[in-house]
Amino acid sequence: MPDLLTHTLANVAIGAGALERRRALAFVTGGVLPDFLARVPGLVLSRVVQPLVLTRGIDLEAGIKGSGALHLPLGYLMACGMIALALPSRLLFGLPRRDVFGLLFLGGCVHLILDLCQHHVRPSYAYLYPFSLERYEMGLWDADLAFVSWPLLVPLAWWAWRRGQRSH
Amino acid sequence: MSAPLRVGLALVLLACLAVYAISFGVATDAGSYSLLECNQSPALCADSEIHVGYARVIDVRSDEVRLRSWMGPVVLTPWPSGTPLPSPGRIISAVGPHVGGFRVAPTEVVEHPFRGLKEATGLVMMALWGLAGLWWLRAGWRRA
Repeated sequence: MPDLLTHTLANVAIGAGALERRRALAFVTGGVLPDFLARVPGLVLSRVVQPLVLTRGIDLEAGIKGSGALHLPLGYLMACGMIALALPSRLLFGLPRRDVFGLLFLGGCVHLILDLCQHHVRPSYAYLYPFSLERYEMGLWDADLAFVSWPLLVPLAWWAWRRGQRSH
Repeated sequence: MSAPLRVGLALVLLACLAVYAISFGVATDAGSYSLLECNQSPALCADSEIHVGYARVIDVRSDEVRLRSWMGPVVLTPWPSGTPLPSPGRIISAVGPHVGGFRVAPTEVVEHPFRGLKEATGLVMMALWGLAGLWWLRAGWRRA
């Protein structure tokens, strides 16, 4: 994954100029949600829990890999639907549930597309699961070098945010 | 949509998501072997390529590099000729066949010099998003 700052900036740059503020926030949240739902639990399992239970010969690999399902289009789609349906109305700030669902999902699609473009030693995500376990990556940039885009993304995101505030 | 129907649908989606995540975890786990599994049953990994991702170098000797990964300690040996040895503390990824115990013979090695920056940024952003989440919860509850 590109880092969370790059994902945040990219979604602000894409969505903040065109969307009303509450909708823009939902769209930008969608831009980081795949990592919060999938990568963070996976990292906690692999870096914190697995080393603790390793001496007992317990292998959490299936759980670690399973957490990645929420970083796939179908898993993320279901997660967005669940979130949009389960949130109490007071936390929707007046947005219709279908808008919350759509904006979270579209924001997450930007995230998944950015991740699809990167390069690892071996491709990371089986985007087409359950239809295929084949992993895909376009290899356009190194997964750790997303920070080189910050000089472009920061002013772009700032401009989009200001434009969105003026027009809505 | 009535509240009970909405909550019911959310629970159905949660169940579907759980099945999807478990099946994905089991399918991907079955399709490859971790070093832990190779160590327990070496025959499993006779022709498997082991992928050691983002592991920290803890010791470097003439022909082997010792790593600390989530699968435990890993030894990369023999180190591929023509590839410069990494310094201790560096983060690297490697792929190659299993050669017994927690040993892998790397055929491809990549060093990640900017991994620390990415992880530090990630931690700061997680903290900021956590604060934003708290603000959202507080503001939402005050609206009621």
